[in-house]
Amino acid sequence: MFYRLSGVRHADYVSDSRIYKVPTDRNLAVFFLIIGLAAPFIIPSLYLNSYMLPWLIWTAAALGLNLVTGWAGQLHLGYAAVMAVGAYSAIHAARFGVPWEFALIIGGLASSVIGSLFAFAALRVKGLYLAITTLAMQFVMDWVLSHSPTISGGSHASLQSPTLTLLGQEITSDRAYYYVAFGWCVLVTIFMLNLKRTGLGRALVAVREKDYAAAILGVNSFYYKILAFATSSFIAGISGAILVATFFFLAAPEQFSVNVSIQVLAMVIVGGLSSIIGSYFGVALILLVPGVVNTVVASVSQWLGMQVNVETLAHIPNAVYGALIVVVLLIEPLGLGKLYGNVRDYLMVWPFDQLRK
Amino acid sequence: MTGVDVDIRTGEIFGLVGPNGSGKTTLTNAITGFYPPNAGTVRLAGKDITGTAPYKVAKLGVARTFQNLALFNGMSVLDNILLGRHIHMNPGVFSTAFYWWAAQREEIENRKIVEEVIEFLQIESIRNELVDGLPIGLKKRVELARALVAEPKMLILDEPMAGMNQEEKGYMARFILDARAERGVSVLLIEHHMDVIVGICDRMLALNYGEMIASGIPKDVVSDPRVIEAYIGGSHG
Repeated sequence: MFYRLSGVRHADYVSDSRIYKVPTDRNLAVFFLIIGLAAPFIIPSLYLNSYMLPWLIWTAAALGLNLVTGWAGQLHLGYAAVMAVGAYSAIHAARFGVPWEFALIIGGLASSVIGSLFAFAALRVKGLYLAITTLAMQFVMDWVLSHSPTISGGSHASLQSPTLTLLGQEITSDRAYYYVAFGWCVLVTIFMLNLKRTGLGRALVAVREKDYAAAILGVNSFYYKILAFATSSFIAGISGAILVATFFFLAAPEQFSVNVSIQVLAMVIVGGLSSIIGSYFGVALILLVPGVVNTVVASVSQWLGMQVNVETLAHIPNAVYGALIVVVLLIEPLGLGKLYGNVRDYLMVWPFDQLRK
Repeated sequence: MTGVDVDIRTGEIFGLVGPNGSGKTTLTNAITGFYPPNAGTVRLAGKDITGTAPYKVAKLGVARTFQNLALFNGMSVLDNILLGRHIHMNPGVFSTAFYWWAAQREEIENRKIVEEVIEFLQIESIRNELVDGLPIGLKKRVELARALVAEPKMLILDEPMAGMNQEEKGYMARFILDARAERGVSVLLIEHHMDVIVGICDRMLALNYGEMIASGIPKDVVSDPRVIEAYIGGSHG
């Protein structure tokens, strides 16, 4: 009922291949797009820049990983390393005097080249072996970053990001930072939405599901896996660069260490493999819940007049957040995206769900 | 397999029979490039394609279905069949990014061709369903549709009627005949149902233990004593 289907008729193929075939879905998307655009005027800038902005950038990054892990079905444990390549390349390019627009693209391309070069070697093995090989990539990159002062400025040093300038505008205000992140996230989301309805997306799913059947249809699995790695690395690179340019302001090796890789993978899995809206939810859960729980615990203890010591306060959010991941995956192994899908399917026929076929 | 020599003519329905393990599927795998033969050659319209990678064989115009079904779960019937058009499309990152300008026309054109085959195989009512939950008779039909939309010169059907009842078999046989009549495709049909083979094949070949035991007109082959022995055993003593 809420996602009304009656009276929605697609009379031609263009209409039937729309991104949102159900009007309610489209209206919701437009609604959230408007909320996103209006956010800087609604949300206090502290929340905007410490929650909304990283959420959007990490969502863009997670969508990139989702392309390779969710669509093409290749486990990738070196995603943060690829982001690091993009971030460092872009910042070095910008420090060198390259305009930021090009610096970002250079970052993306550098990630893409290194990511697919690595994939070229790694894709000779499959499944868990591939996962371990990509993990090796992560460690190689960690080592390179901490041992080459020309790139990172040394193991404990950090690299200052020059002021972001896009289309001739110096980006220095909180709102401007937010809009950069928002714009990038929207672009990546649109790309992923299109992926759901093009031959590229179908070919990737075919490679994931049954590579021998894909081959007999003329799909070159190796080529599409490389393409998935290259595209996902491009997204990773630009996301990494934007993350440093609008959030960290300093690039340091530990921002892209192995636990970050695992965290992004967790975002994708908790959100749901090959689910776009799932990635939004997954990132929100992994990134924002610890902070929210922290605030809740602190305010509850204050309200009860209890004195919670600092160490307990630091550990409760971690425990709650770990438990939440387990609970989500127990309830719906396909992730938060599928959970949303279930609710949507239910509301689609409510209150006439007895009429479901 | 040794000494097997098959020649399938254009527009012919060629039957391939043999007991389990006689090498029928191995022969198709050799043709489609999954297992390149140790000796011998595979020719498609006079061109040597021995040992060509499967995805290239597909581009040359060979389509096949699988004995144990190889549909992509988690995708709709429509998307599965659209994948059959892969060799006629140019999917890429840029066309995906700029869908409205770069991909939409191609997608729609191919969708039209897919819809023709969907109509031909009478699966309109399930086009938006996921393939996972379909009954096997429909799955086989979807797989046939996926092979047909590729517009192959040569269509290899590996037991398309396994597990079907008489009515479904009748439908499938009709579809194969119509596909040949309307699209001029050559068909290599692997089946255990002798009634179907005799009914629709122009010529056929019987295999046993990787060797040819009889070939020719179906009527003659099925009455060949060696074929009968291979299938139902000879008289003992």
